[in-house]
Amino acid sequence: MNNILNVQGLRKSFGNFKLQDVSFSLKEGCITGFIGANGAGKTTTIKSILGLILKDAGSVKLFGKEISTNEREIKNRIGIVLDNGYFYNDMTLIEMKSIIASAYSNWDEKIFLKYIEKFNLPLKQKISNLSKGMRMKYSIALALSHKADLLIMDEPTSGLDPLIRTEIMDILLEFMEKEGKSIFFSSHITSDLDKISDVLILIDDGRIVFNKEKDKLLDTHGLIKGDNALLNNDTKKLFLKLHETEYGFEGLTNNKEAVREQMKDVLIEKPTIENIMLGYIGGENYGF
Amino acid sequence: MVFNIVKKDFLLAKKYLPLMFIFAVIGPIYIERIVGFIGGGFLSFFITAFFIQFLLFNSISMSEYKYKGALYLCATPYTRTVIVKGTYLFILTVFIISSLIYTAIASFTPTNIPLINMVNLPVPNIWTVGISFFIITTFFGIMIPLQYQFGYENTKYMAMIFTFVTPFILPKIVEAMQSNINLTPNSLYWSIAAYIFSLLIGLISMLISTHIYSKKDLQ
Repeated sequence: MNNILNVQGLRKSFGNFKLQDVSFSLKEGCITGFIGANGAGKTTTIKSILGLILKDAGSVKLFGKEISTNEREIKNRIGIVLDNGYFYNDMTLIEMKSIIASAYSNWDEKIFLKYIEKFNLPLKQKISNLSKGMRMKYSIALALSHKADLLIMDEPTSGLDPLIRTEIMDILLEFMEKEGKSIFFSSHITSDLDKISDVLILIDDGRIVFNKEKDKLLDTHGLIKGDNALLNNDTKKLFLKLHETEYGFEGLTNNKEAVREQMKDVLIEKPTIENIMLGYIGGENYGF
Repeated sequence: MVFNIVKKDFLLAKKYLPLMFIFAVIGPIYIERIVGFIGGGFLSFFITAFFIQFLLFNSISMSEYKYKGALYLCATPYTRTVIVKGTYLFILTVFIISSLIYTAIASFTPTNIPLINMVNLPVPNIWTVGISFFIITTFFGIMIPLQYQFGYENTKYMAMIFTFVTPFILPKIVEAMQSNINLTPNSLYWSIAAYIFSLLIGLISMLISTHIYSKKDLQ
């Protein structure tokens, strides 16, 4: 599989926050989840990739080309869904569409109208009158109507009810059915990514913590429960986070095999993406 | 692409357009009645064109500040350069439209309506349009780069002060110009110079704005 996005050594400082040598790549044909807590640097990274925020250092290549020198060509192949929408709320849906559609050389009005019908969106209504879920659907309709190869979505499911989130997940899976399509999807709602992602990238405090296939992550990590007597200086090192109580311990490991070998009589459970994310971030004072 | 940005600006300002049209029709007659004794039609033309442009520009800037739609546009194939060019083209388009409306009003003002028949609204000549274009271009040529640099919130007060002061100082300037400077208002050379300088100012301002906007973080 080809890399459709390569980010190398991306740096950006904003007051007290900075992206620090962010490097990762996205494979064609994959849904890549970009996870992290609020303020970890997800939106800054996405905006830097799109050239909305100017990077201090590093390179961003999309489809093998530097975005700064091939902006129009590259952006023609990207569908964008931003967290706040950034729509002109005083415009109607059809007015906003007329502006956005004109930007893309391969805009397909039929596809757009198909989504509008599917989502039951009122084209003559002002954007300000849409609910959050409808705004997101409208945003997705705009992003999917120009035959994009890469869909970049910043927190698309944030603040939406489970029904709409599920509906959006289905649309994304439908989009991925076509060959050569990819999705880069940032979210702090990890349950959505549990369902659809192939690869997960975790960012924390402006640094990439891991960039791994979801299945491998779930295979190698484990939620371990057992008696405190099993803990010693060596076995404690096997845990990313460990909570001890008078009744026993509970910990998250990224080396399930070693735990199996060194700690008999422990209960090993499959972690969720949220368990794994919380295992890597937040320090010892936070749970998983 | 640039024309779509102009279209976007008209859509953003659409709720003010009927009001602006009414002002474009009634404004010149009213202004000419009040200050028509100076400027030979210049003041009514300039004030009408300037206020229409300023109010529309200001309403668009306010919408951009409120909704941050340019951020979304820049994530699509619209480049920052196109967005800046669109802003300048919008100003030029509004000037042309307001000039055409003014000319139509001056050409076809009925003379049998009370109050209006007392007003002799002259059809704007090449000099009137040229010097108005020059002043307006200079104003927006300074205003737009400042707004790209400092943002709408920081520049709006500056623009408001300028707007309120203009009607008071402009007659004085015109009077001074007509009495102290040996300048023939209808001189073709001066008129052409006004257009050339306007375009140069506009072009330089657009390059400065493009440069400023290319260095901005959009968020």
